[in-house]
Amino acid sequence: MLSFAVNAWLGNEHFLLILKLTNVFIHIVVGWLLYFFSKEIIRCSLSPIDSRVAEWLAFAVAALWVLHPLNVSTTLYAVQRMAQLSALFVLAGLYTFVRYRARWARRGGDPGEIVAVALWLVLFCYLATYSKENGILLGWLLLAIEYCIFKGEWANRTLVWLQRVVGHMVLLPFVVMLACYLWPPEFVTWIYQHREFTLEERVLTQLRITWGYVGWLLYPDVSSMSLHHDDVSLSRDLLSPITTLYSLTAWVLVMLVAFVLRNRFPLLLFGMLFFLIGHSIESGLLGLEMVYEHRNYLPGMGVLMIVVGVYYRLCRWRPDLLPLGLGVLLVVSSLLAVRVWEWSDNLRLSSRMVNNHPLSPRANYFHGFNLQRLASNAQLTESARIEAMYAARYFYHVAYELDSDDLAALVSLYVIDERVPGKREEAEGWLNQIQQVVTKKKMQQSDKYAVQVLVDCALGGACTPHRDRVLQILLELRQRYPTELYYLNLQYKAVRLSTAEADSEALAEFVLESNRIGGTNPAIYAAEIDRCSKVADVECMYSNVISWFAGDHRRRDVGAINRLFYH
Amino acid sequence: MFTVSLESRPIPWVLLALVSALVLWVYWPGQYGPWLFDDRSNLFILDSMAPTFQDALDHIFSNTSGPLGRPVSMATFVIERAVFGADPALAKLFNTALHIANGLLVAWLYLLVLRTGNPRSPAILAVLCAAAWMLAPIHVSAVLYVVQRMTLLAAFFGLLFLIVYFYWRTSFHNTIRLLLSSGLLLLTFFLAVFAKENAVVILPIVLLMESLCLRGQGVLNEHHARRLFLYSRLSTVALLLAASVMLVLNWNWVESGYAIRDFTVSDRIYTQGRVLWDYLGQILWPDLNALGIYHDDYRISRALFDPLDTFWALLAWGLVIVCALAFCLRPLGGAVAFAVLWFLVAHSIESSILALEIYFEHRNYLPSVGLFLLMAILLERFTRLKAVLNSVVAIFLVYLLLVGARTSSQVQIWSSGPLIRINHAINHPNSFRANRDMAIQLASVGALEPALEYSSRARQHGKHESEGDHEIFELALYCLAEQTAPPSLFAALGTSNLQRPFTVVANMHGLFKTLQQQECTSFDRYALGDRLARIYLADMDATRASANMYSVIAGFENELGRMDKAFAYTQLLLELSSEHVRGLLMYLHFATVLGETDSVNRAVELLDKLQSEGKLSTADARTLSYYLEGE
Repeated sequence: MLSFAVNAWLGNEHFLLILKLTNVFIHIVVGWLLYFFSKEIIRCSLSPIDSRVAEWLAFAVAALWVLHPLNVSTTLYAVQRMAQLSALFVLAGLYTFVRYRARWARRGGDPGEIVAVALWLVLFCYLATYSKENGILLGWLLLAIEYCIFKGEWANRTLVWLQRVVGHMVLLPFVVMLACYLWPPEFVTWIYQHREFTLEERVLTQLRITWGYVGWLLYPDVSSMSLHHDDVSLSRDLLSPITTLYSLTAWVLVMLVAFVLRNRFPLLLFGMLFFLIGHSIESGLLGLEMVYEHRNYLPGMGVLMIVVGVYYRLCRWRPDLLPLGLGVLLVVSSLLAVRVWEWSDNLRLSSRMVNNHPLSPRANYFHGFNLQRLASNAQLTESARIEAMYAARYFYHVAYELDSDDLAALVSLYVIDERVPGKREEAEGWLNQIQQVVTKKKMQQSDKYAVQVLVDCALGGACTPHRDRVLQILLELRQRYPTELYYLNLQYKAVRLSTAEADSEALAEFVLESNRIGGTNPAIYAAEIDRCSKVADVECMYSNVISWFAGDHRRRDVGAINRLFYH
Repeated sequence: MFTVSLESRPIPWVLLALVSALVLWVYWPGQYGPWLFDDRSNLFILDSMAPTFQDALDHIFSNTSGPLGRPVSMATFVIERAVFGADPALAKLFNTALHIANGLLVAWLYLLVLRTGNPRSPAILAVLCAAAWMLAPIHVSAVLYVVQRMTLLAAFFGLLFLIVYFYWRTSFHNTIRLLLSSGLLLLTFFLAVFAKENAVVILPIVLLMESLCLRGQGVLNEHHARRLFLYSRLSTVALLLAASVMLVLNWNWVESGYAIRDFTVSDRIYTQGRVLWDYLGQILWPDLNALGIYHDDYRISRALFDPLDTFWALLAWGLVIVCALAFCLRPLGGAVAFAVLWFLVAHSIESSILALEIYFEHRNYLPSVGLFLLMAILLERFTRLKAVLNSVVAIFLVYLLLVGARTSSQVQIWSSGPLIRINHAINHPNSFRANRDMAIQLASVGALEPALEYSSRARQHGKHESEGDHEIFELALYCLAEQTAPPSLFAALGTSNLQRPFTVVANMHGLFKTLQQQECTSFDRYALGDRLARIYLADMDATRASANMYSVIAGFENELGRMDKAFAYTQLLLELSSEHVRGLLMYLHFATVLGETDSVNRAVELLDKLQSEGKLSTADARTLSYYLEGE
């Protein structure tokens, strides 16, 4: 967040450009770190190896990773800076460890060095975790390196006790995860109340999806890549679909092979462990959405190291395969160029996403959304705008047909049909459907945003005012999610929009309710302060400032509260 | 990787410059904050300063907050006022600059201490620990509280004193250098003490530094080194004995200070055990919400086990002192003991037996230098391990950024008058002062109802506020909110304790000042005057109020143009305190206006006598001369 703040401070006008350029810069820095890290890993795991060869192989790993089209949806997706920085610090920690550990393996380490490395690791782990929570995996990855690469070697001796301890410690988190799967604790289960799948379904589906990730890394088919992959089919049980069972079997087999070959080809076990550990949070038990490409940003390095390791072995066997590497890099670069071109324009991107994933409701919705934005472009001719609007409606409708509970599509169809004179009846129908969906659907972030659009349109003057029905929808949501401040705030907004002079006591009741729910809720306080200032009710203003300040224990809104006194 | 040599010359200095810039940036918004609490009693008097050298001198030497008058600090206020006028922003910026200068001195001092023990100590550690001291959020309430410039200046000269000492102790072979450094030592010592008296603690600190930490190291001549070491130890013991004897001899004076407090000497000693631990926590990893200028809600320890924390706190301090003394004979132990004792010794005046208020954050300004010195000493030892320095520096830099962010949020609060009051009211709900401030804030924007609510909360927690004082305060709130006070409030005024209806002069003064500054169109000032006259002038019993109370009421009647009543109040005043200069001058004024020749002569005679005894300030003498010329 600090880096975003710096970006915002540096460039107001070109904020987006600076954001993306910063991400590209971080991507290159991570690439350099990967080069240094993989050089050390290759030296240790493929030894004896000529140091120039190791450098070239490390360069190949870094180049493959930097140029891989799969990483576009991390690098050019501004908010994924979090994943980038987390990867950067994790990699910095891993490199520090490997560099010193290789030396200790040869001639032991002195206490100063050991303490210094420990301190660096603590610092990098802290920075990585505060960039994005999965930075905490640094510790586990270190154990994997120790287990697969150094194997307890210290001053040219093998410390058996160290080998054993590390071996158990690498397995321990897997055991903990298994226990959490069998007896899921609250922190695992709570998020599933917002999901249309269960814990079991997620874990089973991830068995397939992780193979899908491996597939993208080995065969970067840009025509299947997208920002949204909500068209993936869920694994309901081990046999449905049957590929779930195959995936599980394949994982077990691969890990067994890697384990058996751990001494002959340690890079295989290390690369696979790196990939799986890197995925253990986002592709494990937590009820996050099923697929995102950016989740491979760090774990993908493990697979690419294996690829380069295999390539090295192949080249030793058949030296004439050497130019193949260059060819692969050229192909990957071309695919990267194609993907970056796709990502350089919003409409082009959404259009490609629909093309690549025609069965994805979200891809269709976002294409519709971009077309709707195009329709509001005053520089277009009237007919072009009407055409864009109809196209938008078409894609919203496809999204709706793919998922009839997709609130974002339903609300967009309602908003469009409300504005077309002959479609008022259809709009009424959409509203009816929205009313039904909110009673049963597990609301996700996109659904929440859709409800806000509905409130703005239906009560803000752009659509026919359906005051009672919108308030009914919000009441339903409040009853279903009584502790969610978001719906409380929407209800507050709806009450204010729906009545010219809202009852101040009724509005103050919302603030009290917000205080009862707890947590920080700057939106409602800011809105109330604004309302009170318009009617010159100083007492009300102060009461809200006090409530706002009292709830802001972490002082996130001090600046905003402070500014109130300067206006 | 990570092999940048942090010992290379420019890096520490570049870092020091960057940290200074960071501190300035963090504190910059603080200039928009208001005057606070004791700023009024110490600095508002400068509003009446005439643009003459003599009057300026009068104001420099007329401060009564400490036994020595703090003229060095007052001089800076007077110069600032004379050149730039009354601007809190400028005063706060000046304090910020002084804080940065102090930070630089702290870095210098740390470096000298570390290099005496180990000439190869990396300068960057001294810089980092000084930076941590500069950025500690607890110092916000010293830096942005204008009147605490006294504390800042005392620390400035105190730190200079300690730095000069290092040069003095290595000058025995060079007479000129020795004379020069001795002169500087004396100068800085007196400047420190005349900035604020408690800077006197630098004397035991310097002795402890020599006897525990420096131990004669760095002195070229071994004979001198041994003698210095020996004398410093003897002097430490002698100073301790002298302080104890003085304490015993002046015990009555110490006890008499508690007459105005709702706690006893033992209560204060018990409580300070807990307070010192609290300070320690607030320095190293503060609870920002608890920070502020008002801590009158701090629970007093009434006995060793009431509350139980008192016992544990005192026991823990006892253990700390025992450990410090037990290990002080070893070189590292001595340095550590010195740093710990610095904290305690620097608190020995304000946080021990004197009848001061229980808790103020600014009291940690100089003591906290010892805590960060402890950090520097331990880090220096730790970084003697090969290769550790760079990682320690990296971690420390992240720590500084986090602390800086916390201090910045604290400064944000201190940059707005309303926000600081809201912050106090929320986080110190049992504080009399916090609730009072909030009441004033709300009334001043017209929100009378919640203002009265906060006033009533203040009443619950203000044990010293009488019913009459509370009523006076509420009248001021009505006036501030530009609303009519209910007649019942006037009728009840002064009826609850006929012998002493109003005790807090500040409340009465506040009401009159509000009436003077606000329009308060619906407020019947004459009715208030009549009501007070019925209370005080009906039987002319002077024991019903203090001399100062009569003085402010006389001023009020003067504003109303009722000289006879004003004259009567000054008569009561002089009955209580016949040599009250201001009272006599007022008496002279009213008597002159009323044509009371005998009274005029009597007043002139008394004032002449006081003048000959040197008890009149230049301004008072000038006022008197106007009357004499008139005659």
